[in-house]
Order: sequence, then structure tokens, then C-alpha cells
Amino acid sequence: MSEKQPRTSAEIEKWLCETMGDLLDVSPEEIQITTHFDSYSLDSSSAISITEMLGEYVGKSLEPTLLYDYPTIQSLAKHLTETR
Amino acid sequence: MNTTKSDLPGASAQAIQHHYDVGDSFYRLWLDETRTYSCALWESETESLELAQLRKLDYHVTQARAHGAKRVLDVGCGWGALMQRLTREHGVQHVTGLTLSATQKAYIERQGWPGVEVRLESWLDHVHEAPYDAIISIGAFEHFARPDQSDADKVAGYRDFFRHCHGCLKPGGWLSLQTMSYENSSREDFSDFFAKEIFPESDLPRLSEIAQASDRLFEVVTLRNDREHYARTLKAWRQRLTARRAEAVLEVGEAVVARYDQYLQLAMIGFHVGTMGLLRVALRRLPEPRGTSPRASAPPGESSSSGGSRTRG
Repeated sequence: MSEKQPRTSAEIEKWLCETMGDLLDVSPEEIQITTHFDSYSLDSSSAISITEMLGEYVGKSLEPTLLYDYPTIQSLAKHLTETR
Repeated sequence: MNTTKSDLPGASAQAIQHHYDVGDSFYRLWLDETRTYSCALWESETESLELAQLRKLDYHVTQARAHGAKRVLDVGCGWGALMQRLTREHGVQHVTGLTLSATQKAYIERQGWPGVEVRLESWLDHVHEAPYDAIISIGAFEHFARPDQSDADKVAGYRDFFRHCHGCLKPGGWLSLQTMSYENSSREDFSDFFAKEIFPESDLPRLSEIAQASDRLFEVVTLRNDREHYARTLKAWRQRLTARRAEAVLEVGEAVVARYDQYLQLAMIGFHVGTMGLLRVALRRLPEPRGTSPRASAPPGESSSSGGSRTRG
């Protein structure tokens, strides 16, 4: 994986809303960026899948525990853009 | 192949082999040089996995007071790293290792390590020829109960184990135990993936169950929960498996590699967030235990003078 152009925080947030919406079979608008992932009843297998896809999206290898350390879309996107 | 003569309270030999007999060469790709398949003991940010694994082995040797001992029992000996360490570095004269994995037994026997004896039998079937100075069990207790057991049967099975260890140990002997545990979770929180694909017929203990099962047979002297050490160990294993994924796929196929990769990630999350713990417990044998349990039968080989068969009314 190579990082062609860095994703912005807004792009990552939008991508996560869409991906989680698909996973939970709800509209992306129903996913709130400040709501804790636990509130969406994401199990650890789903967290692993999202993290893998997110890694491909942002172009870097991510730890499977990432969603637990940054437990909202907003905090996760902020972390990913700040640690480049 | 018949490896279990007695009715084991935990996972069957077939269930153990499901996990551990995937193939020596597969594990060699991602475990460290000592081929230690349990949580390491880390001290610094930069040290190698192998160093952390050796520190873990030495920790248990110290906790069990096994340095320089004549006879030590290793329950769940894996590929023999602890047995080799005991005889080569700690001056132990004779180590008996128990495993239910035929490939692990064959591997150890091929090494020809002096003072090392490996047996394909469970702790329940083990008859000791002479009492042991120390017992160490790392990463085996996880298989001593089944998910379909009631809580009472689970503790009774654990108590049989502690009673058996009590009967095998010399007076004043120590048992050093390492096991994963349920912490902020229960068995119902874990997915079928763990139960069916990774560790069939195995159920984790809770700390309270260990305390209950060993009560009045042993006294707990030292206890650590090193769950973050396991998260780091799993991360190191996964990095190694990822780096050698192509070779691993050639060895065992894509499906098995994917299963292990998923397991390593799920376990990493469990230890990181605290749904699972990693307990290291040092227990000292009580000289005159007052513990009796009508459900826990006296283990084979237990002498009439051993604590396991001594009761007080």
C-alpha cells in the first residue's frame, strides 16, 4: 500500500459513515461522528473488518485495536490525520 | 491414536490436536526461536520477542522455586521450551512434560535433550514415580474446562487438577500457573468463532474460580494480570505471520492462515480492552489441607500421605 494523497479528516469521516452505514444497513446520515462505536453494537469481528478496509482507504497498516483507542469517527479521523 | 485414558474434565485430545497439530513448520514461521506459544513477559519497548519469552520462562522457574531442583513437572509442555530451559540453564535434573499433542511429543523426542521426558497424557492420567519439587503449567489451564459445563462442574474439574498437583508435590512445593482468563466478560460474550474454530471444547477460567478451586489446597502467594503483555505478544506474532504469509499459505493453506490471523486480531482486542486477562499465579502447597470436595476424586498415583487424600472432619 502506498499513500498517494493524504486523506483529509472530512474524507475519512465521510468514508467511515458510509462504510458503517453499509455494515449496519442504515443510511450514512444516521451515523453520528461523535457517537461511541459501542452504541452501534459493533462486535470485534466488525471492528477488524472496518479497520482493514480503513487501512486500505488511508494507505497504511492499522492495528486491530485502533477503534477501541479512538472510539468515535471524529476522534479516529483526527488521529489518522494527525499521525501522518 | 488413543491419548486419553480418563474422562478429562476439559478439552479432549482431539480438540487439543485441532489447534496444536496444524503443523510444526507453520508455527515455526511466526513463533519465536524457542517456539513458545503463550504470553511473553515484556520489560522494554525495544526488546525481541524471544528475550521476552525467555524472561517469562525464567519468571515461572523463579516463582515455582524450581532452580536447581531434582524433579519438575511441566503440565502442557508445548514444544518443550521450558523443559529445555530448566535442564540447560537452571540445573534441574529431570523434567517430565505432559502434552496431548502427538506432534509436540515427537518434536521434543527428536531433540534428545538430556533430563527431559515427554509423555502423551493428561494431568489426570499422570502417575508420578516420585514427588516433584515444583510444578509449572503455562497456557494449559485454558483447556481444563468445556463451555458446556455448569459453573459447579467447571470448578470441580479445576479442583481435581489442584488436588492432583497437591498429591504430586513434595511438602513445601510450589505451583506456578499461567492462564488466560475471563475478566470484564463472560463465556456468552465470546463468538462461536473462538469456541468452534480456535479452541474447541475449551473454556477460560475466572480468577474467582481458580481461587475457589485451589482453596485449602494451595495458598496464592503472587498474582499478576499481564493482559497488555499478551496484546503485545499477539501483535508480535501477527507481524511475523504477516511477514511470512506466503510461506504460511503454502504450508497450511489460505483458510487456516486466515483463521489464525482472525484469531490473533480478536485476541489482541480482547486483551487490550480487558475482556480477557492473563494471569500468572504462584501457589504454595499447603502442608495439611482442610479442603475436601465429594465431587473431586482422588487422583491416580496419589499416596495415602498426600494432601489430596487427607481430610479433617
